[in-house]
Amino acid sequence: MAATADTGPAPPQAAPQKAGGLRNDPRVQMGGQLLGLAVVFAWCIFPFLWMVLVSFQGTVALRDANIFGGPFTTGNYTRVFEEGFMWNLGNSIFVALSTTVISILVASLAAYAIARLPIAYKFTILAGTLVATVFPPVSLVPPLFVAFNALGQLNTYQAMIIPYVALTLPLSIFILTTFFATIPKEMEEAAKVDGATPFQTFVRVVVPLAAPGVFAAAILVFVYAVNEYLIAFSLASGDPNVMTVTVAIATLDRVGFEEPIGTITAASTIVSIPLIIFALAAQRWIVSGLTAGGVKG
Amino acid sequence: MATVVFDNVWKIFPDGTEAVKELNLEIDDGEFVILVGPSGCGKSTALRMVAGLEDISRGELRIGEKVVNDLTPKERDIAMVFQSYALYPHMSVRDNMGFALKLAKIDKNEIDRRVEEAAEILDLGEFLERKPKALSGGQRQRVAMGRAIVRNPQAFLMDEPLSNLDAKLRVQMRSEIAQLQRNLGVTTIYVPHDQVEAMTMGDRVAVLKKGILQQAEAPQRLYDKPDNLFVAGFIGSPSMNLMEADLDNNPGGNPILRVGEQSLEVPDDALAEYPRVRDKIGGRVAAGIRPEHCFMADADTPEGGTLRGEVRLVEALGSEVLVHLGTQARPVVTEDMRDAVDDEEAFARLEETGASGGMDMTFRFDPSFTPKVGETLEIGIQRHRMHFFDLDDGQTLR
Repeated sequence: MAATADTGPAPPQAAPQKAGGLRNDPRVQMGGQLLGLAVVFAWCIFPFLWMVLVSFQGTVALRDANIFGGPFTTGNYTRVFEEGFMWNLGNSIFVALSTTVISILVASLAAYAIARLPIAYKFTILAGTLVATVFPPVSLVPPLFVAFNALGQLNTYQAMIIPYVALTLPLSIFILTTFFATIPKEMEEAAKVDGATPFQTFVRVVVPLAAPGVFAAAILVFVYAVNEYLIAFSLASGDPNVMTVTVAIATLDRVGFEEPIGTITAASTIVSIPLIIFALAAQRWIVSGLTAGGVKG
Repeated sequence: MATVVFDNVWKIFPDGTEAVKELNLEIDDGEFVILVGPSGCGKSTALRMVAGLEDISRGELRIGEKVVNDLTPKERDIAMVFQSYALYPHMSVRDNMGFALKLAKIDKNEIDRRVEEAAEILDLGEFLERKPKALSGGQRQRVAMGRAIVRNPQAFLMDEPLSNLDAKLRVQMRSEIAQLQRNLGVTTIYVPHDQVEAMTMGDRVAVLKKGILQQAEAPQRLYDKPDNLFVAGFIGSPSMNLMEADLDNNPGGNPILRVGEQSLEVPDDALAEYPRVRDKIGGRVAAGIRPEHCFMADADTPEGGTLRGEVRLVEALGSEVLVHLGTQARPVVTEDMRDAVDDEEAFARLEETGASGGMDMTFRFDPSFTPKVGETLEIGIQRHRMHFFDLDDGQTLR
């Protein structure tokens, strides 16, 4: 060690610079990275781009390989709005928000209990909740249909909200449990000594500290509920008043002999944009929420 | 402000561990009591029982005149400072300090007044709107103190509040906390991070071993007159040199301690202080010498007043020199020592030297004294300041 230090750092540094040449040039490295990212970005964004472009063109786009060719029109959007699509969007948001609020409320209480109470077989319980998610949802449709039919609750908001809550709870509980488990116990003890009741401790100390996890779980639940199609179609497609966007898009009617591709893409674009803005704004929360527990501290 | 009384208090965990056994300790109003002991001795558990974070299995805990066994932390009116500070990261310093008052539904203006008053005392005025993560370690520590002060509680409980600070800051905060406690006059129970905190901060130090209170005295008295081997070995750094020695009768003179081939005469002062030593003549005792109770032997030093050995290590600490002397003395190797050493490896080494005979004793000298490693030294022992313990039960022979 001492010997190399004596010779000075300059010569060993100079050698690899010559040998490395172009490859070690930071500008070239940066350019390579950008190029790679650009390829991946284009790959990912293309279907979305195609959807947006088609929504402004309609069936013309299906006959012409050049999707940038035009002619462009906003007719599809007008038609979508005329068909009461905004009402469907409202339904979707209502169902998704209700699902999110109920799911997060129940999940946070359950997760806190699993993370903190001295329960036997904690991890079995946690793993057990996750087992529910491995059922193919389609296998749940017939029993759900029969049940809601018997209760006379088909084609209602609750026909979607209740199954959605059940299906999103496992993931929410899992995310929130890992989050609550990382909150130092001393924090809760401090609150206790400060005179907080267990509920006050939960609401004023634990939940704010677990905010990234709560957000992450909420966003995932919300996006799931907006995008859900199978149950919405099976249990609540009979009444246009409660129909959500996914079902509405799938049942958009043909106009004459034309495929409804223009209206479908226009409707899809309308649904996507708020979700994208939402996800971009919240991506920091999502990432930290999903990796919590993996990397502690 | 109030007294805190442990009346025959036990803590038995569900798995059967007895963390605190029959604790009897009365803490006066305004007193600053330090709980010390090796890891797992129950000091933190005792503190947490006062806080209401642990249930009391048996016995009675009183704060003021009130039995608090079944009261919630809120009803006990105590404040605690945690090792990690446990500041709420999502709240500003002001909200952190005012949280308890807010929960107690105290008027907002009153909260502001008290928070600002505490911030003034702790020099935190300019940081009130900051979040804890924007503060330095020392400032966070002060916020944790502030959170306790604003409550104006019956008692402060502090669990190693200085252990997360660097050495320099710890010295500063140590005196600040001690001073603050004196000014506020609030009854305080404190679990220290190290011996220096234990010795310098409190009015009284309570030493615990395996959940049992060993001795509770003023720090200096604890140091000068330990009640048993464990306290003698635990209090003091470097710790007391404790050796096992035969006590021989000396017709016409004082009893003689046999240390290998050397001998130490037990002087009259020591016999007066430890009268029961006479009962042990012909048997074995544990004898202790504090590192500083030595002097450089010269021609005038009487026979039977010195120990000879080879210098094994010299540690110059600036203000003093620690000389490790390889002697023929046999170390005390009992369960008490195992607990006092509180380090399995160190204790194993002690056992080894016990088997081979010949332990290293540490002596403290003026820095002008610089012996060389390998040199043989004759060190005078202040025999009248020696300590004597029963080897079987570890109790002092006073």
